[in-house]
Formats: sequence, C-alpha cells, structure tokens
Amino acid sequence: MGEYFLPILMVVALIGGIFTGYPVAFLLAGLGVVFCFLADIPVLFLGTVVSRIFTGTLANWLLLAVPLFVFMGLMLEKSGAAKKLLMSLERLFAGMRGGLAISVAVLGIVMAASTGIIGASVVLLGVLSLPVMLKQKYDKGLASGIICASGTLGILIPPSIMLVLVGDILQISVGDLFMGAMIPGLVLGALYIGYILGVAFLAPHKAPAGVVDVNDKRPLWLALASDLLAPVILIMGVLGSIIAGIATPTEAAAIGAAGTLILAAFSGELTYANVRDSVMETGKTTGMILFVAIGATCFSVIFKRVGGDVMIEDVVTTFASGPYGTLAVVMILIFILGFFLEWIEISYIVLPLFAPIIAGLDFGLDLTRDQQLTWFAILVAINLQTSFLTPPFGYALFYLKGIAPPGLTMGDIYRSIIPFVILQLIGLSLAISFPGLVLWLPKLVTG
Amino acid sequence: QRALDVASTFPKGMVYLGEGAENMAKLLEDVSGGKLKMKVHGAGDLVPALEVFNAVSSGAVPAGWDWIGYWGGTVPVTGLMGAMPFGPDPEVFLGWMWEGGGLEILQKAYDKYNVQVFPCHLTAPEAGGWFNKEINKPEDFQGLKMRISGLGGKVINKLGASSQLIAGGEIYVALERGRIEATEFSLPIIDKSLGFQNVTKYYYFPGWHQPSSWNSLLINQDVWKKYSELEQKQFWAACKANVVWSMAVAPGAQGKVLDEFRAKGVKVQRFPEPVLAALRKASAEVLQEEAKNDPIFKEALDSLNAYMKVAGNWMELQSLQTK
Amino acid sequence: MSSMTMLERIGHALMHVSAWPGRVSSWLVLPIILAVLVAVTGTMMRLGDLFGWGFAIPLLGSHLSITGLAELQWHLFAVMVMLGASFALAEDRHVRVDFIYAKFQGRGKAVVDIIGDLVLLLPFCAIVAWLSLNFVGLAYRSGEQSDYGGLTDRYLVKAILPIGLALLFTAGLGRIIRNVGFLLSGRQAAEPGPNGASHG
Ligand code: NA
Ligand code: NA
Repeated sequence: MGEYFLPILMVVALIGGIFTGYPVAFLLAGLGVVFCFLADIPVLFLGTVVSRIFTGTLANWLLLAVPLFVFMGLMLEKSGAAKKLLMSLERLFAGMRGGLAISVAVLGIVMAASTGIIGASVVLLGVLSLPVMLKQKYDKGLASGIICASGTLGILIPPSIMLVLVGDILQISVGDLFMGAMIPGLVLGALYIGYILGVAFLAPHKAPAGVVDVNDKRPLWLALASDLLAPVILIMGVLGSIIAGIATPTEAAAIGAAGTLILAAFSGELTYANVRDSVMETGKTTGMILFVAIGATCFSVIFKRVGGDVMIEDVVTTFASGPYGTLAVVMILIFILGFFLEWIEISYIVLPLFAPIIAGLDFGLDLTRDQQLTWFAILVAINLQTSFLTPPFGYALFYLKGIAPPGLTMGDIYRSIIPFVILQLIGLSLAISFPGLVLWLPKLVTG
Repeated sequence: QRALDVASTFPKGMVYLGEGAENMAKLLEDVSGGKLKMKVHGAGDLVPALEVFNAVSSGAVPAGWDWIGYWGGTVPVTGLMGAMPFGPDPEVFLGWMWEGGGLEILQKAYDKYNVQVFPCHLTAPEAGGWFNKEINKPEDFQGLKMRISGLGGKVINKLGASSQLIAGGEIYVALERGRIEATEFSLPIIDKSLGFQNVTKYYYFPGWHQPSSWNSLLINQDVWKKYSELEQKQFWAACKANVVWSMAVAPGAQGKVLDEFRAKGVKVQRFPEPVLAALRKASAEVLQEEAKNDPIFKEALDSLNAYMKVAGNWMELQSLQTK
Repeated sequence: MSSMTMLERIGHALMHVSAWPGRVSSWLVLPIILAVLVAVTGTMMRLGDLFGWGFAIPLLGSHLSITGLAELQWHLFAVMVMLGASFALAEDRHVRVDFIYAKFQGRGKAVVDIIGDLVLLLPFCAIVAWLSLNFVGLAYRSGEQSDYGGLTDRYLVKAILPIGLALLFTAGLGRIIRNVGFLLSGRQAAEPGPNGASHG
C-alpha cells in the first residue's frame, strides 16, 4: 500500500481542492507542480509539461475547432436566426410537453454528426437553447442535463477524434470503429428522448408545453420553413462540406463561423458591437476551456510518474476474474477514473494496459481478435463519453457553466446530470449484452 | 539503478515500430545481465511523439525512441538519415551508417543538442501510398492532394501536387471524404490497422520516398556520460543486435497483409516506370536544394552518394536479378 | 471605487494590464476564419503554393503555401489560448466548482483564492515559463521550421508560451495583491473588479 501513497494523495488533494471552488484549471496545473516537488522528481522533468502544452494543446490543429464553434454559436445567437427557429419550434411543439427538449436532443445528434468537439457542441446547444428553455419554465436540471448529454454525443458519433485516437492506441481499424459507434450513439440519443418523454408524462411542470407566440402572424408552416431555412443551410454547409470532401471537420467549423457572419448580415445584426461582443466572449471562453486541458496534462504526467498507472493496473489484476468479471472491473475503473481524469489521459493510461488482457479473453461470442477489440473499444468510448458528464471533473459541465446565466450554479449542473449518467450506463449495459449493436454495421460494411 | 525512461514516438503496442523499442529493452537487459533496464513509454505517454527530440535535448526525459526523419524541421540532416528518397536499400544503408561514416556525421549534428544517437532499427521499404485515383503518368500528380511527410512532400510538389498537412487523427476521414486523394503512412502491416484499405482503391509500390529508414535510440548526453565504459559498450551491443532483429522480422509479415487487401478489392500495384523516373529526377533536385541550405546535410548526402556508388559496383555484379 | 485601498488598486491595475493582450488577441478568431476559407478554396482549386516573393521574411519565409496557411491557423490559435488565459482570469471566467464556494462570504472566497494563487498558480506559471525558455531557445538556435514546407521561425510561436505564462503570473499576482488589500480593508464585501466582475 505504501507505494500507492503518492498517487492516492494526489487524487485526494484533487477532490478536496475542487470543492474549495478554486479554478479547476489552476488546481490541476498547480498540483502537478507541487507533487513534482513532494515526490522529489527532478524539476527538469516538468519540461515534459512544456512539450505537452505546446504540441498537445497549442499546436493541436483539431482543437482549433473550439474557438470557431464558440464564435459560430455566439454569432448565431446574435443573428437571431437560432432564436427565430426555436420560437417556431415552440409553436410546432406548442401542444406537446417536452417538445423543445426533444428538439435540442435532435439538434445534438445532428451536431454530433458534423463535429467531434464536445466543447463546441455543448456551447452551441447551450447558447441556442438554454435561455429559451429557462424562459419556457423548463426545469433547470432537465434543461442543462439534456444540453450536456446531447452535446457529448459528438465524441461518440463519427466523425470523432476519440475513436481515431482509440483506434490508433489499440491498433484496430478506425473505419470499423466509426461504423461500430453509429448504432450505440443513436441508441443513446433515443434513450435521452425517451427520458424526456417520460419526464413530460410523469412531471409535466418540469417539461412544459410551449406557449404560442401571439406576435407571429405568419402561418406555422411558413414560419417554420423560413426560420428553418437559415440554420438548415448552415448545418448543411458544415456537414455538407465534410461529406463533399471540401473540408476537414476542423475546417468545416470555420465555414460555419463564416456562414453565421453572413446570416447576421442578412438579418441586419452584423454590427460592430455584436461582432466585438462575440469576439471578446470567444477569447475568454477559449482561454478558459483550453487551460483546463493544459492543467490536466500537467496533473496527469506527474500522476503517472508517481506510479498512478501502476496502481491502476494492479487494481484490475487483483479484482478481475473470468471474462465478464475482468471486463466489468475494467469498465468500472474507467468510469471511476472518468470522474477525475480527461479522456485522452485515460485512453493513454488504461488502453495499452488492458487491450492485451481483453483480447485474450474468451467471451464465448465467436469473435475474431479484431472484432473483440472493436467491441471493447466502443464500450470504452461510451464510458469515456460518460466521463465528460461525471462530476466533479466533467468537461461538458464546465463548458455549460462557462456560458450559463448566473442563476445556474455548478451544483445545479451536477444534480442535473445524474439521470443522464444513469442513461449512459444503461446504454453501456446494452452494448455489453448485445455486441451486435456494435458489430453489426462494421460487418455489413467491410464484410 | 532506476530504469532508463524512454519516450517513444510510436504507440507502445504498435506492430513492429513500437515493438522495436521493447525488443531493444529486452536485449539490453540480456547483455547486461539484468543491470541495465529501459522503461519504454508509448507515444504521448510522457511527451507527444513529435516532442521527443526536444525533450531529450533539454533533459526533460533522459531518453527517446524515434524515426530519425521526424526531426527534419530541427536538424535538417535527419530528413536524409531517416529515409532518403530513391536512396539506398537496407543493406547499403546499414553499411554506410555503421561502417561508412554515416553515424559520425549524424552524431556531429546531434552534439549541438546534447543528444547521443544510436541507430538501432532499420525498417524495410515502406509502401508508396494509398491513392484514390490511378497514377499512370507523371502528370497525374498535377494538383493531387496527398498527405505525405518530410522530403517526400517537397518532391511531389515539384510534380505539381499539393502536399497536405493533415493531423494524424484526421487522415482517415479526409481520405474517405476526398479532402485528400492520397496518403502515405508506413509498412502494410501498420497501414492495415488504420483502415485505409476500407476507403481507398489503389495501394502503390515501391515506397520511393522511404526505400529504407532508420529508427533510433536517443539519450541525453549528461545521462549518457554517467554510464561506465562497460555499460556504454553494452548499449552499443544491444543496439546492433536490435538492428538484426528489425531486419529479420519485417519481410515475412507484409505479404500476407497484401493478400488481405487484394481480397477486399484494393488494387495493389507498382508505379509505372515513367512516374518513378520523374519522381527520381525531382528527388535529386530536392536533395540538392536541401544540401545547399545546410552544410551537414551536404556532407551526409555526398558521403552517402559516394558510398552507394562504391557499393553499387559490387552489388550490381552480384545481383541475380536482371533489371 | 472610492473605498478601495491602495493595495486593491495596484492589484486591479496588474490584472487589467495583463488582461489587455488577451482582449486584443481575441480578434484573431476572424483572421483564423479567413485563413481557413482561403486554404479550403485554394485546395479546391488544387493549388500548392499560393504566391512567393523571392526573399525571406520572418515566419512566412519566401513564399506562402497551402500548408503554410494551415499552420498559420494553429499559430494564431496558440496566441489566442495563451493570452486568453489572463483575460479570463481578470474577469473570473475560469471554471470553479462553486457549490460550496458560492456559500462562502467575500472574505472566505478571498482566502481560498490567495492560497490557491500562491501555492498553485504562481509556482506553475513561474516554473513552466522558466523551463519553456530553453524550449524556445532550442527552436531559435536550430532555426526550427515546418517540416512540410510551411512556415519558418517556429521559435516565434513557441515564445507565446513564456509570454502567456508571464502574463498569467502577473494577473495572479495582481489578484493576490487585490485580495490581500481587501482582507486588510476590513470591509465584508469586495468591490466590483475593473471589468465589472465582482469576486466570485
Ligand atoms: Na462526432
Ligand atoms: Na468526469
């Protein structure tokens, strides 16, 4: 137990520190430095942090999509296009309880198919729909929960950076992973929608029916068609430019951002004040989001250096028994790690350790080695997607807090996410019980 | 003695390339009777793959494992040492590196950065790349959007191609969607794991941009100096033994994978001769331009060309193949 | 403002000064969008090199290629991130898990921040900034540049690391001074910050 003293102390310090309310980014970064001294590691070793910040965050072309999608979301809000669409959707769902939340979930799935950046999806969905949902007297928890959960689908439904990285680490086909994640991703989306319908039925005050906007004299079909036009063109532009092979997902984010500027121009909202406000907000939000990543990279390199990775490996080998028992221990461990660590770190720590163990197990499913690993990888991916939602350290929750109105506290957001984490676990159990959910599509496509 | 922490540029379990460092660790333990140990950390574990050289140089990590060509942006000569377009085959490259003066030139370039280099892994020719259109003549490179790294990229640009910088993680999507029309990566067994065979029609050979390539162990010189003379010799012995391993295990595995690709409908074929001739000419131009910019690059290029010529005298006489 | 002590004024001033570069760099999101659009259009037109001018200038070298334009995008992004951090700090926008913190009184919040900034933020900024000097120096001495025929002078973008961390250090120092000044003032609640953000 003595050899685990430092890694355990590090985790305890992190949890304790988080609850003092000190900024998470600086807590992570600072604890890395403090434990470097406590563990008597040569200070030069912190040079790894310099490299990790530069290449992992600053020179990471994939993360460029973060400010672009943030800006897109903000300008979309300023252009009024999103608000108009949501108002028309309100009218469409006027008689239907929970209708607005369902449209958020659907929009989340569409966004997920166009980007693999969670921060961007959560921010865009949040900026668009949170104020409207709160105005409609939605339950705060249901509103923020559905935004966070649908926003995180982006990292599971392809295109997804996470699947690319997992495929790379496990040395299995990324194409198969993309196919394999499709159905589980949609199943999760369906679970969210089912939950909203359930809440709307059992507790109507939490998911009220929309109020018809009396000011709008247009017929509903015309209002919907014209209000849908702009956002649909925009989403088609982003998605379409990827599908047509014009742009990478990152580049598509810029196309979307430029598109919102044009939208704003058409609606007469392209004023200096609007652009300046969006730009300033984008700058702050970018610094905030990416510094959490920077802090996490400092924390985790020291965590591993003091033996955190060995501790984790030992836990699994001690508690695992039988194929499903081993799988369960690995899944529970990833779930728990997901409370504190970032998905990239978990992937790098856990996957190389456990891939050979999992590959060697016989689940009695008559799978090839590659198929078994693909299945395992998707289970891990669902689990890692969940890590964005689990307190205390869940990126999606932080992103939402970043753009939420002052009335919504971190505590509200933490409470809001519990039902959705349970839905995630149901989805994960389904994928474990029915490997066909994962493996059917890859088999169909690649034979 | 704490095991030497080695930051690799490859994922730990990566077939062949990642295994190279693990095998070297095992050999080192064998020749030192268990006294010298290396702990290999996969790409990104301690530092991101492309930061390994900087990290070893600054002492942030004591040692690294790399493809030498990754450092072309920092140490130009490594662009040549990693792999020379239309350069030597593995046998000749081995001779030049260990007995023909190559290692001395490389070490001279690395001395400035406080890094000791051990070329310990010689990779067989790589694939020429995955293409979504057929390459029949040099003009087919005109406007081709290809993801290709290092000197190879500069060569195809000479033929009018648009070499693309695509983050490793985005290659698959970019290729699938046509954002790029071609990409190179590595040996067939490694390319397979990235799934390119599912989204491309043609797999071209030979790997003209990397007829053979070196991976190496890097050790910070302050760390290296602390080893005793005997220990240093043990490092060199393990390194050379690892080169033999790397040459021995590569060829067998590739053919089987190629058959799998063919079964999937991928056309596995060679570049036509006129295309290779054009690439060869462009490569010579690029190499000359690089030599003009960096004296050590020039020294290495002249030395390697001279060695290839001398060795060629002998190899051609002995060749059992008629060209 | 009138009831602020001298220390609080100095602290505010430091925070304000270190946030200023981040305010300016926020505008970089617009050139990033433009760079992507030009690169995408150029690629559609199957261009490699966009144009050249025959002599070397810092960062761009002697020509601008599609690859160079792609690299310029993350160069600008790096500046946004590193300078944005102190901007976010000055406006108290770094994420806090605040459901206990929110219950603290102004003085309790100030104490948490003073301890955190002193023990966690300042050491991190100082040490990593110091180590990054070598990182920048190496890039400068080796003339490190793109290995894909893109941009030159990689040390320029690497220099944003120590610069950003130094600004963040200054912002953190400013916040410590401001909070100490507030504790010494004997008031119960902090004055609103220079940018309208009150403490917590
Ligand atoms: Na996605
Ligand atoms: Na979490």
